[in-house]
Amino acid sequence: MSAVFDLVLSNIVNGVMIGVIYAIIAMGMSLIFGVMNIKNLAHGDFAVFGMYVSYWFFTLFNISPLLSIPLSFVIFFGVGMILTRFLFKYVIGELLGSILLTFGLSIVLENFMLLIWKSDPRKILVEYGAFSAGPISVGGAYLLAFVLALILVTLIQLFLSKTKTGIAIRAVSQDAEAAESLGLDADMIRLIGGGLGIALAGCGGAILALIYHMYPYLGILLTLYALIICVLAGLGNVLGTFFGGIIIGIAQSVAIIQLPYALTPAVGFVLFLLVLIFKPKGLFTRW
Amino acid sequence: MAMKLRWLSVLIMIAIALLAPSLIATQTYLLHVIIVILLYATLAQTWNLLASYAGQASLGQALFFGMGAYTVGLLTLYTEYFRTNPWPALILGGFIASLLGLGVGAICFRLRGPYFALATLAATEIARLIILNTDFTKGAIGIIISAPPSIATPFFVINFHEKLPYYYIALSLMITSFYVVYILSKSRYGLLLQSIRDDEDAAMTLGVNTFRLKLFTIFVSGSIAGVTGSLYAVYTGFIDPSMDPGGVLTLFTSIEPVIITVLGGAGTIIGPLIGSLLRVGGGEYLRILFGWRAGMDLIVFGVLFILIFFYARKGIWGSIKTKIRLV
Repeated sequence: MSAVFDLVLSNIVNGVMIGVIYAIIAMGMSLIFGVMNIKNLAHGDFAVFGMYVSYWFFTLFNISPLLSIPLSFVIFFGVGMILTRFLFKYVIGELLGSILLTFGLSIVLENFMLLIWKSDPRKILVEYGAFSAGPISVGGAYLLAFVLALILVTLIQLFLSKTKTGIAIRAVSQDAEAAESLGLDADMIRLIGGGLGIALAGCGGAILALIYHMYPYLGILLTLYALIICVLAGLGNVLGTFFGGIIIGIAQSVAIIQLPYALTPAVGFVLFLLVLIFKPKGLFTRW
Repeated sequence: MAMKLRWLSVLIMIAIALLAPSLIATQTYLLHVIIVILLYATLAQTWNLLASYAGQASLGQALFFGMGAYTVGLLTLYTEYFRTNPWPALILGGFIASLLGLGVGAICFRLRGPYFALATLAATEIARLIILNTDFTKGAIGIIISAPPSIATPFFVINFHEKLPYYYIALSLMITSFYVVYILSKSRYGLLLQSIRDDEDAAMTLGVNTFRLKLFTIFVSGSIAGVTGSLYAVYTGFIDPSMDPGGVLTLFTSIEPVIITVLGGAGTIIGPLIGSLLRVGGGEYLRILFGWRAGMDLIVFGVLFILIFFYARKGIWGSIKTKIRLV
């Protein structure tokens, strides 16, 4: 009894940790969906790009992967603003338009990464030791990534609820026209929201790089995870993605006990379908 | 008069399509590209029916395509009868895909717009993961549709050594599907679909049974996509659930018909064919030009696609059509 129990407990802990990192990436997607009503199918590719940026900083300049997390945030914030200004702006609110545009972007990004970094899986080789408390043992990198992710989530939540810009982003997400009529510069807010959204993808990727192998085709899987989490939370609900991520993380790491490894994402998709059918507004409908 | 002219031009096109390939029968590569163009045009037409006419933007065409392909793959793998005679397997592939369409529709048509798109995407992913992890379906190894023993005539077993017969099969499938969508779009049924696309609530209020109409549409769309997938499986002789690109159940395969239809012109009958010419033909050309480095051709394609998307939002044929009307 206790061996199984320990295994389940240990997997739940790991699930929570990985789930929070997924939640960061999903938060970016949720933000972009909120301010621009765009489903970003290239989102996971930006996360993988963030992983590779972190990898390059480490191998070329010997910069610690911890330092490259804020660095990638800044870089991808710029990238996100540029993309918003020159691409996303033109497909605001269009379902097919945004899907096609971001899928085109995803093809470009994925193959760009294939071109530069080839298709072999790579990993940042840094050891952070391991910790164990009772029956649960956790890799040091996992713990570190988890703590960093938690800090980031808290910061984003504070930004969205306490600062003027953050509140403006939420206002535009809820009703862009009303926000504009009250004197908000919606274009500017979208620029910031888009930048922040992509920055969260890149930054989440940089955190993920602490614990995961990276390869160019990983992007699509991360995009799908982010989509699942967003729908679980309710599209555009940023705080909900935090819990959505944890639910997906736990569901998958518990499912792994019974199911073959490659089948675990299916658990997420079944959850996704169930939520779509029975509660299409998401599990957490309030902000 | 205009109507007669249109049919005449269609007939001339079909005549050319029937006669021309015999001139290039020896150029196998060219013929191969053309066959793939025809198959993808058919697949794109199924999406066109569902999305452009009925307004149900599906991201799950790969599900029907892949199920058709896997029906043929599994039948020829496990039964002697179908190995020697894949023809009925093609029909069965379409049948199973259409049933699946009804199932998916019954669940997903409760949802609208982006939620419908996401639900079909999820259904496809679930199917992909199950096939990928089941031994019965050979998982990630994929299925080789083995060449049947030569006990029957080649036509009977659809295992031709030359490409030309495949061309004619793919062509007739494409013409049939285009004709079906054309007839549907011009009928009363097409108008009802348009009413759903434009305002589903209003259509419902006026007494249109939108749910049943949508189910019928996904039934037709799924069955054609299924037969296309079956034919694809028989033609390429190998199927695999998730190799990227080319796996029959990937997101890429679901979005390919969307790209093709939008490039050619969504909501037009001929659009998917034009889009397929551009996408498949252009894609092959780019691969010849830039294939020296893995990924280069797809980068160029992606950039070109984004540019075309911005400058011709109605697609190639859609833009031409509006120009003609203005003149």
